[in-house]
Parts: sequence; C-alpha cells; structure tokens
Amino acid sequence: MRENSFEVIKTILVEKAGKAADDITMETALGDLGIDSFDFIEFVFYVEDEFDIQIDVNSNQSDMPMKTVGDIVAAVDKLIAAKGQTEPFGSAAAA
Amino acid sequence: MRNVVVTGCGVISPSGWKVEEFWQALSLGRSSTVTPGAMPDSRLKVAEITDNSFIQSLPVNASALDRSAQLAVAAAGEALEMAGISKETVDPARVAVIIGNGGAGLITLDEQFKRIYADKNPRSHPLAVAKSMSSSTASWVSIASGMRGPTFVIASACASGTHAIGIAAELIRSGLADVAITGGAEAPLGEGTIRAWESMRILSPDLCRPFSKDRLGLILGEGAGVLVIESEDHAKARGAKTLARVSGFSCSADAADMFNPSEDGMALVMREAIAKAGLSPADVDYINAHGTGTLANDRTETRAIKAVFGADSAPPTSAIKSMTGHGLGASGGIEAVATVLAMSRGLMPPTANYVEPDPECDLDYIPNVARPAVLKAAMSNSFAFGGLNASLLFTA
Repeated sequence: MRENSFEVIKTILVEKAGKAADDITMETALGDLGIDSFDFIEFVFYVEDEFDIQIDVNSNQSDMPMKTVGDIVAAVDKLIAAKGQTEPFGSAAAA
Repeated sequence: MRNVVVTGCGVISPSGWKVEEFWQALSLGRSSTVTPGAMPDSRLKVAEITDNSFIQSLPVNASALDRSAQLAVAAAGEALEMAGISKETVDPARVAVIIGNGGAGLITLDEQFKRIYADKNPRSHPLAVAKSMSSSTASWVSIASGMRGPTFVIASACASGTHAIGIAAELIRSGLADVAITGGAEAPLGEGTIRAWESMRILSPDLCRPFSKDRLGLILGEGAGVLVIESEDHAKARGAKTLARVSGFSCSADAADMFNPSEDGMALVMREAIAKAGLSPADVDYINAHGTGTLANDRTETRAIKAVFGADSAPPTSAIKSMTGHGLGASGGIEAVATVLAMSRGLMPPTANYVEPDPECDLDYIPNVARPAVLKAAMSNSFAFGGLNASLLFTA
C-alpha cells in the first residue's frame, strides 16, 4: 500500500462523492459508504483522471468489482507501477 | 374507443435495409457484422443506407437532414408504401407523425462542436439548428410524406420508439387522427456520443449476448423502425391488409433511480398492456424483450416477466438487440416491426450469441435459432434510463 494513493482516493471520495473523511479507511466497504454500481463508475472516472490511468472495469461483470477502498488503492498502485511511476501525480496528492 | 391496426412497416437497422433483408437476418439469427472504418473501435454497429431513393425524392438535398432524420424518412417511406398510403389517397390532415428519439441531431452537434472547439472555426453550419432540433425527425417525415396531422417527437431515451407507437395509437383511439406514421429513429454514432457511452462501462467488448451468463453489455446501434397504424374502420374502408392490431399499451415511471431498472415498474406496464387488450397473461404467446445484454436489465426483466406470467409459464422471450445492436430511441420502433413481422410470418426471432444459461435468467430465450409459432398475441418491451417503462401488446 502507498499511503499517498489512499489519501488521493480519500480526497476524491470526500470532494466528489461527498463522503465523510472519518468514515474512510482501507478496510471500508464501498457499499457501506452508500456507493452503488453507478456511483462506482463515476468514482472510477475521477480516480482514472487523477492518476492518469485506465482501470479495466466492465460494470456487467459483477455489481461491484472492487469491494473496499483498499481494493481500489491496490488496483491503482498496480497500474501506477505498470506505468513505471513511483508516485501518483495530481493536485490532491501534493496536499 | 376505436380499434387500431398495423397496415405497414419499414425498417433500417444494422441487421438490414428494409423489411425483407431485416427479416432474413433475424430469421437466421445473424448478428450484424457491419463495422464502420472511421469509428474508433469495432464494438459498434452501423446501419448502412444502401438505397437512398426515398431520401433523394425529398425537395431538398439529403445533407439538410441529420442522419437520424434520413433514417426516419427512409423507414417511413417503406412503411407507407407497404400500407398503400400517400397524401393523394388519404386526408393528410388526419395522418399523425409521432416519432421517438432519444437525442436526434447528435451527429450534427458532434460535427459542429468539432468545428468550433477543435478546428477553431468560429462559423457553424447554417442548417445546424434545423438538423439538430430533436423534432426534426418528425418534421422531415411529415415534409417527405406530405402528412399534416399532429406531428411531434417523443423522447424517453431507450423507450422512445415504444412510447411513440403507444401514444400514436391513443391519438387514433381518441379520434385526433385516423392514421399515424410512428416508430423510432436514432443515429447516435458520433464520436462524442460513443465516448459518453464508453465511459459508462456498459459496452460489450465483442458481442451482445442478452440473458447469457457471460454477457458483457450492450452494442451501440442505430436505425429506424416505423409502423403505419390506423383505425380499423379506416383500414377496412380502403381495403387495406392488416398485419396486426395494437391492442394494449402501458407506460410508467419508477420515480426512483436514473439507471437501475425496477422489477415492479417493468411488471406494472406488462400487466396493464395485457389488461387493456382484454387478455390475461396466459394469452401472450411471445415477448420481444428489451434485452440489452447488461447485467442489470436482463436479470430484472427476467424477474418481472416471471412475476407477471408465473415462474414456469412465461412465454418464449427473445432479444433482437443481440443482432441489431441497441438502437436507443429507435429500438422500440425496430422491435415493434420485428414483433409485427413475427406475428404475420409465424416465426419467433432468436436471441443470438447465446452461450450459457444464467441462474438468474432462466426463461426460454429462443437461443440462437428462430422458432416457428402461431402468435395470437405478442408483447414488445422497452425499459429506459430514467426509470421509464413501456410495453406494447399486439394481437392477430
């Protein structure tokens, strides 16, 4: 886990999805945050924009392909590593 | 209230130009393989206009029409020809034109925005407004046919075509018109619209496999499907051949979720369409499903059908979007044409590309092979984003 990715994703959940920062940990289930399948697609869109990555998600494969905040962080870190970057970029990461 | 009958139909879809080619493709369970060279990927299906004769008969150049209106005019022309109706043979003021589209003019808007934002060309095409206004599909069908009755479009996203036909039938029942040219038309495949659909992550990377366990979403399409419907008295008076009756229609809104469909909403309109026809569920012989190939629609529609018809007594149900792609606002029109043809020709089109049963989708979907049947009553369903439901019941 890279704490930076977590913080960026947490910021997206707070700023774009209106979630309470105190409710968000690596173990938090997205469903417990009230994120349904279409909220999830919008959330992934913001995450992809922020990290300049593409997360392979087809919403027909299951209701929620990634279940927890940690699942998203892991997917993001893997994609960043594949790009050869060591740190995510974007304004939220610098905060 | 007057009875309403279908006396003509016309269609342009990725599965074929005009009724005979379209029906041949559906009868063979053939998935369209037409792909556009200029499009960004191969997951799209595009209807090819291989015969522009009706468009060329317009008083203006076809380039004055957005592609959605070209498709509408061409399909309406075939339907009128089959019905044997022209402005010389009926009172044009008694002929309504009610066309459904989700967003006509999308390609025109795409082109104009590219000029302005990408090409930095400050001038827009002078016909951009007339080409992109959503009512242009109905206006052009009126202009092309010379019909002057109530003319407007109905927009209810992917249920637009079904809403249009149902409302047009009500106009005839209530006496506002004797005849209606009605259905759906859509030409959404500009790059901007395609990217918007891609971002929802509900497009299949290969084929559309409705109700199949391995389904991965929908395939975008385009086209038009148009019926000529008229009061039974009007049809009899002119000795017209009847293809089917428009016996039941119902529409409703879930008032709940923009994207997730509702089993109750779907079941409600199916029940009401059957009741308005004076029938019971056991009388329905075939359902032309909305069947998009998405995870959510197909299992919800299956549950709704079971709720209405009984878990073990649902009629054979198929999804022709497996072959035509999803024509969005056109799909209700295209599928109404398919349902009428299924009745008049005694053959239920299959659900193509079906691979594997899904425990949550356990009806008879007429997998891959068309099936002969005498159909006395057949239903056509459309369930749109925005929680908009519509169901038509045709009878012999």
